Amino acid sequence: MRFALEWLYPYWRAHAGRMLLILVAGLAAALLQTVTPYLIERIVNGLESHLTQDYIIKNVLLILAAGIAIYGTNMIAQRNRAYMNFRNEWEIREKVFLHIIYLDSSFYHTFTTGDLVTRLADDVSRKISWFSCSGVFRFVQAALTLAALFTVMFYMNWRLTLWVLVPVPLIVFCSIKGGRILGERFTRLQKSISDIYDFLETCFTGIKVIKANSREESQRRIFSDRIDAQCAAEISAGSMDVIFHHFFHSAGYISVALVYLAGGMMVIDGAATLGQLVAFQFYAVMIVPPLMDISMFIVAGRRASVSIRRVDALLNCDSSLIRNIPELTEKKNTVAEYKSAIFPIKEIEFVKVSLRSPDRQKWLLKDISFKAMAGQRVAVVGKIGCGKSLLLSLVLRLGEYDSGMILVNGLDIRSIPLEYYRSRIGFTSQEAQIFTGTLRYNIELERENSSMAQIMSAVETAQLKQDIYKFPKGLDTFVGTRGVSVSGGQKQRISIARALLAGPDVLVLDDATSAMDARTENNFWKSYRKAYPSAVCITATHRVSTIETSDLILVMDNGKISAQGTHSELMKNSALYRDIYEQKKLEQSYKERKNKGRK
Amino acid sequence: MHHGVGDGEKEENIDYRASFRLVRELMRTRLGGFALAFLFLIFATAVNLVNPVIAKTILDSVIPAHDSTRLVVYSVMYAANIFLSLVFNYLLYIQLVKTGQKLIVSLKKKLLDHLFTLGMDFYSENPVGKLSARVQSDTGTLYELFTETAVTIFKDIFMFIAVFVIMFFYNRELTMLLMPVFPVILLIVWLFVKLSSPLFVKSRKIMAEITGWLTEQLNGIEVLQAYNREENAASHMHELNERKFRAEYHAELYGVVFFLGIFALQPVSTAAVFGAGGIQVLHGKLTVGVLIMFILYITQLFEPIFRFSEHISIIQRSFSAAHRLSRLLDVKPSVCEVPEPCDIDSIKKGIEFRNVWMRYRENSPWVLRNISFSLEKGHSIAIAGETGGGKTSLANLLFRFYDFQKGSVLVDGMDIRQLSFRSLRSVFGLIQQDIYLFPGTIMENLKMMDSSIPDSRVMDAIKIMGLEGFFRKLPLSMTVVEKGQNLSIGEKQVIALARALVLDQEFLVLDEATSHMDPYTERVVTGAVQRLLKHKTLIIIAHRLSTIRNVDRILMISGGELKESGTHDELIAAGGLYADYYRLQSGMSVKTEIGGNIEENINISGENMAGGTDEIRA
Repeated sequence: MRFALEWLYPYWRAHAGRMLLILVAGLAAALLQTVTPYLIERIVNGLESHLTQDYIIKNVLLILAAGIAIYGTNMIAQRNRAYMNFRNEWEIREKVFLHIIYLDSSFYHTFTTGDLVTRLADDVSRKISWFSCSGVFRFVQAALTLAALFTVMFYMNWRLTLWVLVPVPLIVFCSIKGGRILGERFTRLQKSISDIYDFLETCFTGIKVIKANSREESQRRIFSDRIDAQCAAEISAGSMDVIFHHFFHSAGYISVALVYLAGGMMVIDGAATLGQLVAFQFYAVMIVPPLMDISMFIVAGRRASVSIRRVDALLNCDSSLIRNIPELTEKKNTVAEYKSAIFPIKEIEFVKVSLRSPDRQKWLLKDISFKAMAGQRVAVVGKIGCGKSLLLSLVLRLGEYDSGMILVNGLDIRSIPLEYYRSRIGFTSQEAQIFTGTLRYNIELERENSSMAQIMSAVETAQLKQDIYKFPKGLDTFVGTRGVSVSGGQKQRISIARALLAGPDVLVLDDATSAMDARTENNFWKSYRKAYPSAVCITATHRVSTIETSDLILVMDNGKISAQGTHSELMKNSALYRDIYEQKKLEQSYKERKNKGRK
Repeated sequence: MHHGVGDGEKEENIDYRASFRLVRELMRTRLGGFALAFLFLIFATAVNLVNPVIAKTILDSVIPAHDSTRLVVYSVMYAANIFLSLVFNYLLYIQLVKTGQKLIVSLKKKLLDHLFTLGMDFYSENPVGKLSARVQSDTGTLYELFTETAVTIFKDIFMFIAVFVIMFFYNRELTMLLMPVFPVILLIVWLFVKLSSPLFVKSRKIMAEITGWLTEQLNGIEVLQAYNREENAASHMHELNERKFRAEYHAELYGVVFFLGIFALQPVSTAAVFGAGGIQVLHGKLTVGVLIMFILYITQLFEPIFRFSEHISIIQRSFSAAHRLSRLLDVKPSVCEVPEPCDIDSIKKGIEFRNVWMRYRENSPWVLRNISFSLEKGHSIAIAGETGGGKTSLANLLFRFYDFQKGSVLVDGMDIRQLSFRSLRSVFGLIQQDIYLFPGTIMENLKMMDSSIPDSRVMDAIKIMGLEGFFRKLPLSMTVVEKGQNLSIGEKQVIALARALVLDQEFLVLDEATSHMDPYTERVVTGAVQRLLKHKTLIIIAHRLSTIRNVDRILMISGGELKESGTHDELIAAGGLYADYYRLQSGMSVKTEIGGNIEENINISGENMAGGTDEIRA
């Protein structure tokens, strides 16, 4: 809890004026709260001793004035607390997001997308936001209110005050305990609900398999189990919830009953006035809401602390990318000069590059050396998990390596500003990414200086032209999760068009042609070469037709390059390559047989 | 760019009548449960009414009489009453929770059953997220109606009336004085609901948008970084955050004004009661006890009215959920069984397509044109052709995911439409290209989550398929995570093949995987398919042509028509469309070995591809 408060302090500090206002208004509201019962006491005692009408009216107007003042001060406090809750939520989320998008691939291997989204959305919005101001400062106001109430009560009648105090420890204990149990039960309920969502998503996505194999019955059984679990969780959370709420509603009245009993006796004995009895009845009810705030502070605080630690963990991650960037003077022409001095990229060379696993136990990549030249296509082949994608991510500088050197036009890659370097590279990821937006947006990706002609040329090279015509609104068709759905092949070609748009010096394709049919793939390579004769292309691929025609083939095995060369060289020298190629051999023989037949 | 709406559905006018009908029908199924809740409700209300009267008695008669015995009795009664109120409110709420849950559980089951009857056309039009939302979140909203409003609203009504009557009984003048307050409160409540509920909806939608956007961006973090888009993303995040802040703060402000307004009414009414009542007391027309009782009752008078704001928004929300649910329940399946379908246990002879024409919608182009072929039991065929050429559509007909318009499909000489779904779909099995695995172990997936299948059957199937080695590397006890992300496409395909044998269907349709298979797995898959060929009748929808050399016959389908048919060797020898495809895929350089002739062919089917209709993604 202390950690949470210390963590939140800078956010309060940044809005010091507003926070001060919250405190002052809270204090004023606390003091004003004590006034009304005090005035009631005066009226009731006055009624007993036959006072004038003016006296009543004066006090009634005072009650009214106090009521309005309480309304005003509470309004200020609450409004600003709400403002701060949402403001903190905004600032925290933005800070974390801004931090993590600059982190390298090792971070994204540690945290899954789902986990990150949960932390940024659920933890920040649901658990931290409310606590970050309301939770803490309602507690402060509650403490002030209790202090004020008890001071006035002691001053009025200390013996009766003790009676009101009797159930307080019980109320505090029960509310904290109950709050915790309630929290646990709601968490369980939440879990049961997300289990059902998981089931439904799987079920509806796999509906074709389910129907084709008429497995509806077993799906029904699973569903039935899960909704039963939710039902049980609902009932257990509901029963605690109702006890919790009605308990608070009633708790104050326990004190009221005691006030009537003890206070009534005192009035009979002359140790208290009737006015005091009536006033105390109101005070007894008034101490409950602040007690509730205190228990909320403890319960929500515990939850928020956990979430704050989860969020803080993200902020403590640093990018492992090493930057040895020589200092550039701020003058613009220097930047331009710098860029024209190193670009275009004509050559990328790996010299004994190695990379360890995050736990430093084994080598993910070991002694990778190769050289990709302008106008070449380099194919990276090998089994799944051999390190192909890792190698590509090093080319993109999405991740750091442990030893060796990567040279770009002979310069250490670490010495080139990331942004400049990446602006010369086109990339498609293994799973083609489509963003919610129009097709045009997906290709442009906010590089708004591109012309229509450039877009169309990228589209044409990527073999996407025919598809564009099929979409209802062409390039302006809305795609993504809430738009027209696109097939896997179309996704790949959209990503390729995106990669080609800026006319990159280096094109990195991670298995980007896998969903193309043979003919389309062939056309793609041809028109790509025609459009970008001097670009370097590095591709991870399983397609034999792509492999065969590449200028350099890297055969990867277990993080190492086991052989490299052209197709014909490797057929001679590499057993592994031959092995990979073997399955195509039979087909080769068919071809030969057919050729013989022709002769 | 990202201003999409939450559910993707437009705000519609709610058909309150249809929704009410659904709600009424649902409540009727649990009438007893609701009646019992109603009984508890009456007790709870009655108990809540007593305490102010006790307070009045203590102040007016017990204390002035200096009667300490009665003081103890009344104080204990007061405390006991609090306890009773807790008990009855608990019983009431739990009764509602239980009844509501039972009702919702059967509604959910009914929904799933209904969804299972609907055809693939329905699933291709409705995204998974939307269907899940219907089944889970809309029913959840409806549940709120049953626990928070449907019965409880009477508690508030009774309470209001009873308190009013009691107050009227004790002091007519003072009660009438309070009268003008109520219309004002009702107006405020109405205004609050009207103004704030769209704002709450808006902020919920922005939250959903933020979650969706974050998921998308972080999933594509490589692209985001490789394209130097960090700053764009940051500014978009800023914009989303700001919108969320505005919407929520705005909505919250209404809430603050409204709820504080309610609290402010307390001192106002207290002042009014003391002002008017105090003078009456001075004149001896009223006692202090009645005065205090009035103040206590006023709280109970206001509460029901304030809760009306909740009731109204719950009714709005739940009725729009009920509206969506009743519309979903009204959807009729596009493909139905005949009234008395035939059941078959197995296929004796084979299947036949006779001049089949098919299209997905009226007026849309034909996807299959005049297709005829037959397949005898124990034999195998492969269907090859370009993407969108009609391969998958053809297979869809065997499972009756869709119906054809002309011609006939015969199973053992019987019209396929006469057969029951159940028997049809248990004799035919489908091995899908992008197979979906269920969260659970690999073993469970091999049984397709059907726990009635013994492990031994799985082991036998693995042995027959020669996959022992593969499953040693990939242990059967391994847990498949969400969407099978910890398995490669190739591994998934192997699991799907083995699963087909476990489920023991006679005719298997294998929709080959198109992508991402490393050579090792591809070899395992090819081997498994060869084994399957020996044991089953197989229809392979071929995308890669590498697995289909050993089938008995290959059908080359292009533009919805059957262009060529024969064995691999025959078709290669014929040198037609198939031969061209085959050459391209096996990696022969087009330029050097085939020459200009092929270029022409490429262009021809290029046109076919453009003209062919998109296969419906199911």
